[in-house]
Amino acid sequence: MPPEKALSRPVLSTSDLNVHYGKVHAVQGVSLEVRAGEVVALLGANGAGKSSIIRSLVGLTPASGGRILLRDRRIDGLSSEVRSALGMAYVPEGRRVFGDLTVRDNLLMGAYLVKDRAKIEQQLEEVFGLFPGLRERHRQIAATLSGGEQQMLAIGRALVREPEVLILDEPSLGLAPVMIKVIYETLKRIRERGMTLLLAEQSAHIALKIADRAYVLETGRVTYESDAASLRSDPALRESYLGA
Amino acid sequence: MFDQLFIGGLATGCVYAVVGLGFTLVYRTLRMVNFAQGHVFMAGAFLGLVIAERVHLPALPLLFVVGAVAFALGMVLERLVFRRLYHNHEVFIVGSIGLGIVLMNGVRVFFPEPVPFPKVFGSEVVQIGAARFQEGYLWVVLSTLVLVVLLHAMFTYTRTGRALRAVAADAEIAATVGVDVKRAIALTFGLSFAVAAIAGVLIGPLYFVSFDMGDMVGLKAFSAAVFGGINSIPGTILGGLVIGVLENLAGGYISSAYKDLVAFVILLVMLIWRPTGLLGRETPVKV
Ligand SMILES: Nc1ncnc2c1ncn2[C@@H]1O[C@H](COP(=O)(O)OP(=O)(O)O)[C@@H](O)[C@H]1O
Ligand SMILES: [Mg+2]
Repeated sequence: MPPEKALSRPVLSTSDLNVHYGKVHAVQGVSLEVRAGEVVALLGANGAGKSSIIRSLVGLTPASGGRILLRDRRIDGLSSEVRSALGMAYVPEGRRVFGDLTVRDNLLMGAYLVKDRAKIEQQLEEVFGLFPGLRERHRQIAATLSGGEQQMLAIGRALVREPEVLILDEPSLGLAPVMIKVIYETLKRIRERGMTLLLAEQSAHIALKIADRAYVLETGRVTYESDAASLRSDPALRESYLGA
Repeated sequence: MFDQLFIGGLATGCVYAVVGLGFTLVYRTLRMVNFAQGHVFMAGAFLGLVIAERVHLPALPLLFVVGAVAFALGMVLERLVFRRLYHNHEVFIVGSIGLGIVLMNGVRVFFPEPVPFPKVFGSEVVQIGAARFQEGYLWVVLSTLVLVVLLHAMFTYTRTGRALRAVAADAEIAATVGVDVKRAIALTFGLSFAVAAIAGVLIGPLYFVSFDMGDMVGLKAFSAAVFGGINSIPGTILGGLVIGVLENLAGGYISSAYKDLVAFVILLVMLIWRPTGLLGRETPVKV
């Protein structure tokens, strides 16, 4: 990890975060930290609690305990739209583009809170620069895009607002390997621009390609946390925590 | 005779279409059917009547004022009533039927008998081809056209309209990009009330207005929405026009006794043969 990243303040952090679904205790006292400019991977098998953590970060699932801080501000208890206004952007599991809207309208929705029209156009250009395929299809109805294009659109929609932190829930899910490669190449470019990323993935080897640090989740708890390099380089570690 | 029946049917069809739009707007957003819709149409007619009798407004301002008041009423009722019912579709249906009954009987207290509506749209007879009809019919058709164009422009080109479509597509995700979903739902109710009330004012001068006029129109507007696809605005408009024209033709050529049957036969056939409607699409089930 570059030393300046280690020193920078956390943009997003949780302490003792809990999520319950009735009696199901899906997230059990998770504390994590995402510092400015860092890419943090949230790894774990299906059902480990990745989505529950992320949904409670963005305000879609209420936390049953613990705190969430954005910069120094406590945000648990705030609504999704307020958290979004404070600088969180979310790329949901399963993409969830606005199917009836055109590509352009989806991106404009991402910029819903930006009032300055010139700024919006400039940001759309940025997104089209990252995903040239979206520019060609900007008038197409989002539901008619391929899965990979929808994932690009979901990422573009989250980026147009220049968020403080970009939170992605399994961006590789259900995509062909070529498409995953394209998506991750773009995430790398986004990281190089200094964006802060929190990235949930089941496939550790994909996420570890771009992550600075990683948390490994098992049944709602963090069982291991380290810099990504050691997880990448130590097969025994990968074996014991990720089964791969 | 055909021309006459066709134009008459087109005018009532417009009314079904506009009231049906109210069903569609709410359904697209909440996947729920507001069965008070027909009674809002009725209340709009009486609101227009009361205003027209006290202040002699020309037709356009009258439509505008009634639309605005109904819009505000829709927003208020959303906050006081509908918002408490969303959690469950059955509760919502029963609640909205209940609200309709309250509206109906509220009006009944003041207007127990059918009353004539002031001729705000003029009473001249217009001749087109072989058909002769009151000026009011022309108002219905033209106003519907304007209303539909305005709504379309609002949904397509404005920031708020886009946000309403986004909420209809995926309310959770809309919230995560900064849309105030509660407000969007309230606006949707406001719009659905406004269009229904405007339809009430449009039809008022052509018939007598009575507290129970919303029952049949509400059911037919619902049929129109189901026929075209309850989540599709163009579908609902098409459905309204088809039902209006067909029932008028049936009433003229067969027997007026069977007129009301047309809408419900269409509704049943559609529910059995193609439940998503003519232009509707399957909406994915929300988790
Ligand atoms: N809406 C829900 N209701 C009940 N249980 C849920 C719900 N969502 C997730 N869970 C449960 O919570 C646990 C964590 O799920 P999730 O956060 O989706 O994991 P992941 O994203 O890592 O696959 C699982 O046991 C899952 O069955
Ligand atoms: Mg998940």
